Amino acid sequence: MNDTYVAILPILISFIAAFTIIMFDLFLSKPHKIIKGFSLFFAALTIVPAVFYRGITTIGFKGQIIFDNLSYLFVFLIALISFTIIILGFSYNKERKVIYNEYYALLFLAQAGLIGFVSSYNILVLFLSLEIFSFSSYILTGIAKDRLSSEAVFKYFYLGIISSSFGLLGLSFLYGGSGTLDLRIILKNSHLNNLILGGLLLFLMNLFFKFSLSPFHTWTPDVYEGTTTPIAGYFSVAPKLAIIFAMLRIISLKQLSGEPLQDIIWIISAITIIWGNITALKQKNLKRLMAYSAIAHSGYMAMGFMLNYEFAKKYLLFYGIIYLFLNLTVFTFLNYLIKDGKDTVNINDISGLSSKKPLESFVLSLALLSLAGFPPTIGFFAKFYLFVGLIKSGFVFISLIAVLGTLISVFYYFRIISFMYIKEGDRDLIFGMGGKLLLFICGIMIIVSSFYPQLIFNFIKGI
Amino acid sequence: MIIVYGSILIALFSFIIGIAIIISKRTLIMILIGAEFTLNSVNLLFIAFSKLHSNAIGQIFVIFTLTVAAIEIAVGLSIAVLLYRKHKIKSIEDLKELKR
Amino acid sequence: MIFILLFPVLSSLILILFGRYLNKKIVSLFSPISILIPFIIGIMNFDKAGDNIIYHIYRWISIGNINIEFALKWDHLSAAMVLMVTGVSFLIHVYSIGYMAEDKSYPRFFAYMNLFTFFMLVLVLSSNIIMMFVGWEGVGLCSYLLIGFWFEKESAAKAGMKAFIVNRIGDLGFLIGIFWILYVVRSADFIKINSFVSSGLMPVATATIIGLLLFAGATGKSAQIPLYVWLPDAMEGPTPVSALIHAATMVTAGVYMIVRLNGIYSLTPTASMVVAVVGVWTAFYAATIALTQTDIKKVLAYSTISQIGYMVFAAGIGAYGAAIFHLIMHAFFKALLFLGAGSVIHAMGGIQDMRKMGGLKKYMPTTFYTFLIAGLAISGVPGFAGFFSKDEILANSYFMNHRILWIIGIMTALLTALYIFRLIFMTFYGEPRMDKEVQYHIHESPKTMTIPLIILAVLSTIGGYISLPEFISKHSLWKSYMDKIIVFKKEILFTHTTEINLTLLSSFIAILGIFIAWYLYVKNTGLPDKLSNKFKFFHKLSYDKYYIDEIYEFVFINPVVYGSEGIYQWFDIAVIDGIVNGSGKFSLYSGNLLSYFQSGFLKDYIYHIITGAILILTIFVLGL
Repeated sequence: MNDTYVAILPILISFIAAFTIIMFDLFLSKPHKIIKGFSLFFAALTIVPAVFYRGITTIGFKGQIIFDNLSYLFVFLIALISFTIIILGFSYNKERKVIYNEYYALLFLAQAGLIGFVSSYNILVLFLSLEIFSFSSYILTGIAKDRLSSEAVFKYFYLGIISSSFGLLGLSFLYGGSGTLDLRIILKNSHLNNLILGGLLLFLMNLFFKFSLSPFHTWTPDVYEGTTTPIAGYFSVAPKLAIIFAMLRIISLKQLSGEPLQDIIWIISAITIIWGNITALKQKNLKRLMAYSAIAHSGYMAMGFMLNYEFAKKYLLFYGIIYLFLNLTVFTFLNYLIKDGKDTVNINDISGLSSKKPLESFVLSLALLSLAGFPPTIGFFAKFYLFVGLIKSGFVFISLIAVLGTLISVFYYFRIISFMYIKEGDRDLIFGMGGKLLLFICGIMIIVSSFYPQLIFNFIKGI
Repeated sequence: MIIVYGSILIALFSFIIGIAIIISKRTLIMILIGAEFTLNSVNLLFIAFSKLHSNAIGQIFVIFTLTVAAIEIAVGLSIAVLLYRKHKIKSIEDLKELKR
Repeated sequence: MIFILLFPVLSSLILILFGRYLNKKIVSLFSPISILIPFIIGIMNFDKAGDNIIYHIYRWISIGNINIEFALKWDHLSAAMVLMVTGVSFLIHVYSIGYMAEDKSYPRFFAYMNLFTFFMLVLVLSSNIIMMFVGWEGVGLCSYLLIGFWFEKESAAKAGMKAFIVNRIGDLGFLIGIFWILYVVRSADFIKINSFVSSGLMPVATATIIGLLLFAGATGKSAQIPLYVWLPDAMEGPTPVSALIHAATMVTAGVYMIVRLNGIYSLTPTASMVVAVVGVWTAFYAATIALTQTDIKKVLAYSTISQIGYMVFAAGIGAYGAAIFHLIMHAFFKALLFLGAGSVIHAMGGIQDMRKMGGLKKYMPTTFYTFLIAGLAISGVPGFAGFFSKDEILANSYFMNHRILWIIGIMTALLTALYIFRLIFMTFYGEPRMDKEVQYHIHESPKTMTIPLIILAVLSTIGGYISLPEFISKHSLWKSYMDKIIVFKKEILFTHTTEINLTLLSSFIAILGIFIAWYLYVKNTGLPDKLSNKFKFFHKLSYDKYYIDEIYEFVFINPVVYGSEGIYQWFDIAVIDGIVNGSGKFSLYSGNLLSYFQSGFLKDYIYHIITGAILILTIFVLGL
């Protein structure tokens, strides 16, 4: 279907949402309540086109924007993420006194950027939408304006602009090697010339930075620790999911195996897995620990970039979606670890929580066990499928490293659980209505999908 | 043609200079200048490639990159101002609270 | 059949989530009953087991053309195991009501125990290897939680972690083995695997590799050499836990696994030989350590390792029926020994050192007599359960011409009788050596604790009669029962006269062992000290467990301290010291290794990124 306005509907909704929120903030005298309601409404509204137009491929701007099943699936997921993050923001921001309403507007801008990023083959659009996301995310990182988040935002910004200049350089090579901006034409030849390959690599390095793969991961722990918890949760899922989808688009054009790129990807992912897991072992700050866990998981997912499109769209996407839900669960929990306007996310702060908050601790343990890939939780299947896909494609060695990494990772996830269940403590938490509901839903999802993983396969089938 | 290849070389060279500035300078403003340098060198590269392929697409790209560069300066400056005004941080050496 | 699984897991969930709202009485009623019901279901369906029923519940996962069902397998092996697990578990639950009565985390304890039983049932009932792995990991998880149950004791938390690490190492092999099976057989189902093997499709070399990989997992879980080090430390957990998990059920999972996949092991003489040698070696080795230990639970722990060594040995030489038979008998008498020891410890107010006991016979008669029965059973005195099962293993090894292994087995039998009666004599006979204060408080344990003891004692006595030696009865009940699950059946010629001689020999050995123990620890009590002085070297070697812990420390831990960076070495200290204590040492030695790069300085980060980028570009350019 060739209808520009239908095609850009999800992006349009996000921009309108951002604009409306900023206008409300400017012109209303007491805008906070209204903005909260509106942001939830707009997040829900973004899902509508994803549900409504699913199955129809719409093309806008003469082929520059493409909304097919892949994009709509992403729109659906990112809208869920935004929705969750907004709910988490309500209580957290109030507690930490982040009273700026741009917060919601920027979330929508970031969302618009990410949606644009996964639904185009044009490298100009890719660049612009990635930058829209980046700049909104820089500001979101520093929104609390205190010492730590200011430091976090500067580190992120500084490293971010370097990596995006590398990415831009790569894009210029892509253009220089082909004379066009359309990735479909650029990557069409079976033998790419070296300029294009180099450009692709530089562009991928920019993505790897956002994906926090080693050695470009250094920003991740600092930013997660410094910024507000909902935003850390956002970073741990949204850009990663977007990059997985974008990589799926690239893989569908050109499989990344056989080229020199393949060696680079597997080396990077091996280093990332080992690095992330080992460094996570000694962390006591839970947000920081989750950052390293996120790095390690990026490593697992990066292995999936080597798969061919048939496998990647099943196994990699499966992993990405599972990871999304698990990480949101953990961050929903961490979100309520706040006291007197300060994060109290040290591991000691949750000791003995299981007796005070059995249900919530139980859900957290489920999510952590899943992240650790402990059978029979859903996380086990995610890893299992990914490894099976890799082994089938002949990547045995890297799968062994990944299995080893998984075994290491069990320790630090377990430590959190053992602190909750085995240690004693008198800390109690207050989970707001939203948090309780989210945790409950996540818990149900984890349990149901653990016993019926096919559910998620059915969900992503039409890609 | 010589002009094209010459400007490609100059662009790559100034990209490296830009990166070198980012690496070596310690004050926030100088780092922003370095970042600007890299972006503009890529712009030059785009224009050179545009000449090479004799189509205008590369030049269109440059217009957008300029906009992005402007946003980058705006965001960067605001962060720099935040760090200086609120936390009295001028040099990146002072940023060492978040580690390990 | 699904209800077998449903009850324990539901009860465990309820106890975890709402345990603190429940009355202690309700918990202590609720939890054992949720184990009793599966036991009853098991008994009611027992005769159906001959039909090899598979209860399909639903299709769990499908990868390409490999479908993995969530299905339960009800055959002779799983039926026997289910009855053993639920039966022993139920008795131990009842026992725990008395034993844990004073504990403040009462519901939590029962929740974990129920969860453990659930996973153990998943392990034995699974119809495919993936589900089995789920149970395998699950029991490990519960074991870890229960070892560290008394987390106030630092050693307990440390022991839990140690168990966990050591098992991880084994599980790595196990996991790779599973993947290999999936890759070769294209199915995870036990029936498919066994039919694949029996149709001769699997090359022997593949079977050897798979067998060895899976056995690596078994050495971890079943505490065999070289990964047995965690089990003695695991005694830090409450005694019912030791009885259930670290004696009767979980630690025998490795043996169960080998028997379940007996097709693969029968195919490969190499892997089977490795299994048998490791088993018999462990049996002997652990028995020598048990001789000199002074902690009552440590003796039993090494005894467990030794007895599992027997089972692994039996499985290795292909006597699968004998292995499972000994497994079940061992579950009875070893659970009894542990519960008896628990009763003693309970009475002594927590003292576990046997040098501070003695003369307890008159204070706690029930415990003493049941303990004695268990002791007779484990030493293999004729008429008791252990006699039949151990004798069968030894006879099998003799008739299969594994003579050297057989001799070691016989020697181990002597040591077994010796160490167990050393324990009995030191604990129950002689002059009381405890403080007056403690002596005053010694009392027989409450009914909830003694009744399970009595039931187990009865089982330890009569249990053995289901498999009489061949010269007594031509058709052994057990043998024909187990024959159904064995893929490659072999006929071994048992000559009756030899068999009778062998039986007489092992009876003599058992009684000799008891006699030596009596002579050393009752009659001539000065002698052991003299002996140990004379053979100081050997005594010290055994007492210090052959310095294996120290050697492990030397090999694995010290290099780290002195700066080695190998992953595994690094691991031991990272995990044992750093994670358990959550403290200094780890960050001091090794943690900084990688997080050193996360210095907090932007300059370092940027060098990091630029170096990485340059390296990547170099790889790229070189690879063009």
